[in-house]
Amino acid sequence: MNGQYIPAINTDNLDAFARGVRRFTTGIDEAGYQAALDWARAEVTARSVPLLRLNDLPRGSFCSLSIVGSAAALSELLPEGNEALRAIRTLERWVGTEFQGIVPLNCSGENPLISAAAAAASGKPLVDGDGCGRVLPLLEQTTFTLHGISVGPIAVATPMRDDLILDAPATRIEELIRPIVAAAGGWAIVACYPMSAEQLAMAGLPGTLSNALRSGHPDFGPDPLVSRTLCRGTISGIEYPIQSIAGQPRSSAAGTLPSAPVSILISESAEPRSHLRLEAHNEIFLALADGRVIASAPDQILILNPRTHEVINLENLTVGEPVHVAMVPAASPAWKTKQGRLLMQLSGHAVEGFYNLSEDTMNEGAP
Amino acid sequence: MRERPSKDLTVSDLLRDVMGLGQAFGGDFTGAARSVQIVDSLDAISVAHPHTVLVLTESLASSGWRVEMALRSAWERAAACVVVPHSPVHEASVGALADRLGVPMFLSHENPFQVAVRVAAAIAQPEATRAALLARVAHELAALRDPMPRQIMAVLERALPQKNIYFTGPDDGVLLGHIVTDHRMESTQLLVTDEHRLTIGTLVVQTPPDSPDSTGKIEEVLELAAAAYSLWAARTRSHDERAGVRSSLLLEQLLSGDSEDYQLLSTALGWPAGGPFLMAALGLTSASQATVDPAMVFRSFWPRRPDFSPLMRYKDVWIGWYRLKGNAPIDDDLKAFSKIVGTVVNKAANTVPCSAGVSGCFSSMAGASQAILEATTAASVAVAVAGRVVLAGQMGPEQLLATLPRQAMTQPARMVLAGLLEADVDGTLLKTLACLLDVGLAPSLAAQQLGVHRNTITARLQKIKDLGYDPGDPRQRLALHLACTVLVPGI
Repeated sequence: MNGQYIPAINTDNLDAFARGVRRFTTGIDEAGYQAALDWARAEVTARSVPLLRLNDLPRGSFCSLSIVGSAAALSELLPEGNEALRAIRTLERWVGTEFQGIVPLNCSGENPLISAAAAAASGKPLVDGDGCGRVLPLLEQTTFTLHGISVGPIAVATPMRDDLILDAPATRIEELIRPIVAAAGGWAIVACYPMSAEQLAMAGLPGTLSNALRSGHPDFGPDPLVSRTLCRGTISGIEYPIQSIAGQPRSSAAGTLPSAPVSILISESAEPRSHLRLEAHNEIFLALADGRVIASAPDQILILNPRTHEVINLENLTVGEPVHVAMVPAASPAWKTKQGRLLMQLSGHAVEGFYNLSEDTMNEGAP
Repeated sequence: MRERPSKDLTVSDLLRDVMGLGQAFGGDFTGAARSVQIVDSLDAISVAHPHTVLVLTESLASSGWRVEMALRSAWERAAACVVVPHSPVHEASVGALADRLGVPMFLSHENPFQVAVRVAAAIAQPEATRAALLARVAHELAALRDPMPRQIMAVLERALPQKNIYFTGPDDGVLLGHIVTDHRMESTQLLVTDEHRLTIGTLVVQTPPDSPDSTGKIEEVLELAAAAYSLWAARTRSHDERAGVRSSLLLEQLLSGDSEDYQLLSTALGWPAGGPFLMAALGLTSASQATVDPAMVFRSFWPRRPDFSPLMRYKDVWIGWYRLKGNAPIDDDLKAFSKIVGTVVNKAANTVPCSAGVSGCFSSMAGASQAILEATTAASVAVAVAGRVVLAGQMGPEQLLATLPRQAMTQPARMVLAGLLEADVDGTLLKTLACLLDVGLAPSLAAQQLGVHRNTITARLQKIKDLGYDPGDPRQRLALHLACTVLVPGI
């Protein structure tokens, strides 16, 4: 069943799909994830979602879809179920064209589930691909941007029934959207990156949704999610920078990431019993073993429960907890180019200077 | 020990000489420090030369991961050490990595640029740094004014970090510090002597393998400390000479079971260490009416030798002891010591009538209490005759009886022996009776002592019995013996 063509997301494979997309996350809010899955199940039960391969797209326009804000808020302020459809329709009206399909902004956690729900609700196919190959914190951090496709204009649909269009430079989008999300109750759905089929075929990362599906159940083919074990050990310490001590996260000032930086220290349980340091700010962006880089963003670094092999949320880590640290290579070589690293460059305190490291240093630990 | 070129300043030197290098990690401070580099980016370390002191700027050191990467690069570049601006957040974790990699790392509260300038100055002038070290040690010792051993040791430990230092007494027993039993350690030692060139002890510095510090430098520091130890011992003894009580107080402290600081202070006072010993007690005879201080007289004749303790007052006698040679029979030592003690009391007796007692052999000062009892008892027996020395091991009834107050007992004694004295015109019978009682009524021994035939003794004993005196009768024996001792002294 290797490379088996998967024509659609339907009730038969939705659960495997949901399990698979979960494996690509750095951490997940369980309640938000369940709310997104319930949403997808409701829509997919009514109508299955055809999957379009990137090299087989019909002519026409496409858009990307994403949830913005906190996934945890999704479980507190439940969706009406029309938010994604409203966002797509609003963007279609603004750009003056009907989209031929929807591509998830990323293939991790809640986003592909909500994209599947939106596709089912709108009767549009879902593109088997995404713009990240994983999840990244900012809207403009996509391979679409790397290929010159603008994130805007974007349509925002809130659970408060607000529909908005933001037509602004890409560098302003994040700054504008955060207060809107806060006013909307903590989350919203955005339709963005309006693009042609040719642009999507060139910029999208192919097959990531079917990969997730295979990753979620062996019936759909061998697990394509190849990870490299970095360490098995025990958490020996958790450090918070002075500017963001535990329990008092730094304010989300303009240009900063919407979370606090944290360092996780791990004692390897087997020889050579290395001293590991994982640096995280929204995601784990760096892994050091005895001061040597063994993995770094854009490769994805995950902390797993050694028993269940599920990702452990960073905020749930405790000192003394046994963990398994794994690395999933970046989905696209585009992320390792100079432009890819520049796009990754974040302005949070803890990561300041990280992307200024020489390429030699950063590639040292590459598999 | 290997001598290094003097131009090589070590990390250890920097730790000691460059103020502002705070808490240290990494363990190995023996590497040479030949240059300094201010590091404001991780890539800058990749061009650092070996043996470079890397001083991280505050911005670079603001995150633990950057410090850890800097430590790793420092390890790969064989840097001398890394100086990191202090951060309470990642102090423990980066310190653990420095320990693991063995990269010396210092947490500094000072401005990194100022630290770098001081390090550069120290590296540029290593000889001046070394001279500054000696000057600082000398200054610290001088500042002690009345140096005490532990204070001197503390100065040494500050001056010679990462080394093990201890001080032994003349018998090689450790008085301060402890010995590290690692055959790889190299030792530098210096004998500490007093003003008479008698050994006070030995200062020993144990240096880890491949230590960059030269023996010469260690010896220079030790010489300064040795002078301070000599001064301490001289002052202690001088004080004791003047006051004459320090040794007595220490002896009483020892006898009361309080041994704190005993080893150290006894060394300063010149007490012989180790053992075994013989104890002497010198006392004034009952007829003594000295007009000068007996202590001054005794001390002027008492030997000043490393194997003789100083003479010290204990109750109404003066105590001193001698450490046996250990390679001669104890009897020989006992004779030699008794002879010396005899010489002392004989010479002193011209000014202050005195006598002495000598104890049996005791193995250590833990047995001093019993030895003093023996010596003082023997001395109390000896008081009957000025210049006399009685050995505790050879005391018999005659020695004890000799201590009786003769004057008071003369009249009662004459009453006890009235019948015999009346018949004994030339005193022969009295002398024979006294001798028989002293030798346990053995006629042969009495004959031998008095130089007469055994039968003569037997005949005289019969005459004595005929007069009503039977020394074999338990009811009469003690009274007869006491009376004879009082009336026939010196037998």
